[in-house]
Amino acid sequence: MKRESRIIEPTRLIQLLASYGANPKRWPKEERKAAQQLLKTSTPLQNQQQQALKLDRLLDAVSAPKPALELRARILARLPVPPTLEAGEWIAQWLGNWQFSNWRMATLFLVPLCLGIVLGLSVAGYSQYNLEIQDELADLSVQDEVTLLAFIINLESLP
Amino acid sequence: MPFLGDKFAATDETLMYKIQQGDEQAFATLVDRHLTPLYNFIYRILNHPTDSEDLVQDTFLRVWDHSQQWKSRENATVSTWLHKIAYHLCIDYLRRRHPIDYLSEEEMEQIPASTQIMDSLQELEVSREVEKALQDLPTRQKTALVLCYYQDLSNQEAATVLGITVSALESLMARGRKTLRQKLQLADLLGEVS
Repeated sequence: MKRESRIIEPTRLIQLLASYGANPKRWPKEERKAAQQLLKTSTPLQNQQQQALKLDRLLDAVSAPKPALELRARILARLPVPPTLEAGEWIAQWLGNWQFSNWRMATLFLVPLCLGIVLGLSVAGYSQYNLEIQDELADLSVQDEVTLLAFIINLESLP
Repeated sequence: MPFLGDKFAATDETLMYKIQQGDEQAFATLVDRHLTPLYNFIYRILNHPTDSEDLVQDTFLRVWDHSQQWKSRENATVSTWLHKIAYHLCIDYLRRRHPIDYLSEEEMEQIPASTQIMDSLQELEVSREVEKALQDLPTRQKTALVLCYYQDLSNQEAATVLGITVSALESLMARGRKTLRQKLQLADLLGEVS
């Protein structure tokens, strides 16, 4: 139940003091300002706050206990050992976590991209090599033709 | 950034999502964060150090086992959820510890405040006296006060832990404080502080 009203009645402030004590920090957020405003204007309400403060101070006097140092280790040691995952399950779990690890999603895109680039470069290099060989072969065949032609001319020119 | 060793950066909610995936490191971080507050809460309800440690352990193991049941909601933070589990374990424990003379909340609240306190008017230090007065409160009144006063939960969160409305929570706290005041006035402690 939320109380959004900006003005509160003295009875409500008395309820707040009775329930939450004297410290406004513990009062419901939505009523805090109005309650503090009202408190400034009323001496009886300020007296009520002082009464509540006495009990608050006694409650503050109760020391905070501390757990044993080994409790953390005890809790973690009691965790059940996770079963060994099959490769498929591991991948599924790994992918299942990607929402919290952006790098996993990036990896998913980058790995095929890199493979594509490497493959592409290899194919391009191979094509270039092929073209060079074809050029050389073409040069060779032209040279051969010229040599052959020269040989024929030479034969014809013989007496 | 969640992937840069996020022990201190991750919110409780992020840790819970990771725990749901079986992340033990996230679980350890959650334990580090909530171990002492949760122990304080349970200790103030049970007033028994060893049993309180056992219940803290049970609470965290339940978190691990039932992590899939946790869902992020506006009024249900991880802290609220942890307190709720711990509170229910405390109730179960108190019922087991006093199987015969366990009284319902209504029955306990019928007991006049003055009947339980005359034996505590010895020369004990103030904190012990207040602690005892707190322990004598009916469980729900005590829990409401501990949640709002010591655990710093908001009224909405405390009401969620107890499964009641905010109005009912305020009523429990007012009755608890009234009883405490009566007990501590009888112990002459409210006159000592000004």
